[in-house]
Amino acid sequence: MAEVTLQGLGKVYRGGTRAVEAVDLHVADGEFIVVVGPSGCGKSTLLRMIAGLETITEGTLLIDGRAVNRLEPAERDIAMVFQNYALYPHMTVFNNMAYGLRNRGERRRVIDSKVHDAAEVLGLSELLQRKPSQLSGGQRQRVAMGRAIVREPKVFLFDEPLSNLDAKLRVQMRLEIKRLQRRIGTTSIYVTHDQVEAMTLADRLVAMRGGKVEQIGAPMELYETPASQFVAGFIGTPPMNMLPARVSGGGAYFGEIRLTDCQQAEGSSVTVGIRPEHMTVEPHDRTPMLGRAELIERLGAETLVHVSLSHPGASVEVVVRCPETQAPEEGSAVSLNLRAKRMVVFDPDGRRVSEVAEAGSAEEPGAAEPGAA
Amino acid sequence: MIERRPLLDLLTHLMLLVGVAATCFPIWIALVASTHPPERLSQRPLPLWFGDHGWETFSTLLLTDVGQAGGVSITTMLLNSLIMAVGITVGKIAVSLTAAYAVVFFRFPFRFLCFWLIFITLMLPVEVRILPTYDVVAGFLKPAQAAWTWVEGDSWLSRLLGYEVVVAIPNGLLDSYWGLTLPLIASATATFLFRQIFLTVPDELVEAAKIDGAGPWRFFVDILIPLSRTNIAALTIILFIFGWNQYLWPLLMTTDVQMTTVVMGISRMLNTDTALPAWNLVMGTAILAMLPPVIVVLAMQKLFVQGLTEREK
Repeated sequence: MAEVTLQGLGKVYRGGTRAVEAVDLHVADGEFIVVVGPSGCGKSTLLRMIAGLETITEGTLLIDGRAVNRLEPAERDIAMVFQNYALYPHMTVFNNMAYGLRNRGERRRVIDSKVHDAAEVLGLSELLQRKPSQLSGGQRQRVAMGRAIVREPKVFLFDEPLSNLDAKLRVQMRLEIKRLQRRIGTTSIYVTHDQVEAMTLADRLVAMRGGKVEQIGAPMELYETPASQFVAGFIGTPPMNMLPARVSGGGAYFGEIRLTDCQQAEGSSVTVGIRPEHMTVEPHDRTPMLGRAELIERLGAETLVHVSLSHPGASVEVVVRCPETQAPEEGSAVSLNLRAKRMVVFDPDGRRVSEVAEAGSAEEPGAAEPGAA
Repeated sequence: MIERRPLLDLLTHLMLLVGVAATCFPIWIALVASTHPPERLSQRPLPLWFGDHGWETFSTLLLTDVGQAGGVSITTMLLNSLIMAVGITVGKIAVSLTAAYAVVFFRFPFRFLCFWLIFITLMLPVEVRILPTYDVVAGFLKPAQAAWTWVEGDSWLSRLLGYEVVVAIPNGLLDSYWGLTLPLIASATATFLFRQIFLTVPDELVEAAKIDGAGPWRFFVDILIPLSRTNIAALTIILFIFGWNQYLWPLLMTTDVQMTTVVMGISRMLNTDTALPAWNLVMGTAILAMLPPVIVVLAMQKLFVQGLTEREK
C-alpha cells in the first residue's frame, strides 16, 4: 500500500536523446494507473524508471513520501510483471515465485505459505512443481503475477503484460488482473499500447506521446473530452472522426455547413472531432451533410458505416456507429446527422479549445442538425 | 523429411557399419593384443581373438612399477593424468565462466579491449607459444623469491615462530601439477563460448532477478550457471579429453618420472633401444588410458544431448 509521486520526472540518455520529459503525477494509495501511448512514446522508460531499471536523470520519485531515486530495484519494494514474463526457465513455478522471498531471507515456512496462498488465488496450486516450459502462455502470465504478489510490494508495475497472449486469453487475463487488483488493492502502474486494456483497467489514464504527458484523467474523461487531437485519435476504436473546418462568424464550418460554435480567430482552420456513436446515418437529403456509404462493417452488436463526405474544398472519410437496422446499403448516398453537443474543437496545434462544445447552444445546433429529435 | 526407400536405408546402414568398424577395429585389436604374451604379438597374422595372458598383463600394469615406462606404476601415471585433466577442465570452466560473465554483464572501462585480448589468444595455442610459456613457468616464482628475500621473510617468520625457519621457494612450477595445468587453463575458446551463451539471456531475466533482489553473485550462481549447465557439460567432455591427451607440454616440463602422465608413459614404453616394445603392455596401458575419457563422456552424455536438442524458453 503506497502512494507514488512523480515530480518532474525526466530521462535523457547519455547521447542526449530525451526519452521522458517532466512527468508530474500523483498516484493515490490503491489506485490503478494505466500509462498508454504508441510505441516509442516513453511509457516503458517511465515505468522502468519507477522500477529502478533505468536511472532517473531529472526530477524526483517518491514512494510513500520517500525519495527513492538512488535505491536499487529490490530496495524500492516494487514488483514488476514483464511482457515476456521473464520467468527463470530452470526453476519450478514454486521456486520462481519463492526466489525473491528467499533473497530477502524470509523463513522457509513463511515462503511456503505465501507461495501457496498466491498460487491458490491464481489457480496455480496444481502447477507448482512444473517448469515454465511446461506451461501455457496464460499460465506463465499467472506465474509472473504470482511472483509479483508473493512479495506483497508497495507498488505493482506492469509492462505490457498481456501483449504476448492471444486475443481471447488477453480479455480473460485483463479481467483477472482487474479482479486481483481490486481484491488486494495494491497501487498499480500499468503500461500498455492497447487502448481497450487502458480504458477497462484504469482508475486514471495517463496518455503519453513523444516522452510527454498529453493528458491525465479518468478513462471516460479522456474519451469524452480529450485534451488533444492525439488523445482523441488514440482512445477509442474506431477513433474519433476529425473534420477539417474553418472559423467564420463565431462558428466552425465544414465546407458550407456550420458544425458548431467556435470562438477562434476569424478565418483560422480548426479541426472538429466527433465520436462515431454521436452521428447517425439518415436517408439522403435529410441533412446538408451529404456523403456516400463506402463500406459497411457488421460487428454484430453494432455496425460501422464508413462514409466519405465530399464537399467543395474538403473530402474526408468518417466512421459512423449505428445499430444494424439503421445501416444503409453499401454504396448508397446518405446524409449525416451530427450531435453538436458532443463535438470537440481542436485548434491548429491540435489542442482542444476549452469547453466550446458545451458553450455552444445545444438547442440551436446549427445547420448540421436540422433533422434531429 | 523422411524418405521411405529400402535401398537408401540399406546404403545408409552400410555406411554407418563401415564407420563403426573403422572406429572400433583398432580398439578391438588393442584389447585383444593386451591378452597375449609379447612373443605372440611379434608373429603374423595378429590375433583377432582373446589370448590367455590378460590377467598377467593387467596385474603387471596395475600392481608393479613398469620398467619400460621408466619405473613408474601405471596407477601413478593415471593419477597424474587425471589430476592434470580435471585441473584443466575445472580451471578452464571456472575462469571462462567468470570472464564471460564480466565481459557480458558488466560495464567497465576497456571492456572491449579485455574481450579482444582474450579473443586474440585463440590464435595462440600452447604449441605455438611453448618456449615462452616454458620460460615463464620455469621462472614463475622468481619474483616471489626476490620479494621474500627483500622483505627478509625468513628472519621475520623465525622471530614470529620463535625458532629458525628457512622457506625454500622454488624457481618455478616445473615438475608440479600447477605447472602442468595453469598454462593450459588460459585459453579463449571457452570464454568465447560462454560469452555467446550469455548474450542470449534476455535482458528481462536480468531485470527480473534485480527486482527479486538477486545481487551479481546470486544471479551468477542461481540463474546464469544453471541456465548454461548443458553447455558446461559439453565443455567438460571436450576439455577433459583435451587435458587427458596432452603430450607435448607435459613431456617438455616434467623431468621427474613421478610426474609422468599416461600418454607420456605409452610413448616411453615404445621407445626401447634394446628390445622389442612389450606390445601387450603398451596395448594394455592404451586400454586403461582410454577408460577415463569414456567414463566422462558416458556420465555427461545425457546433459550433452539435452543441450543439443532442448530449447528452453
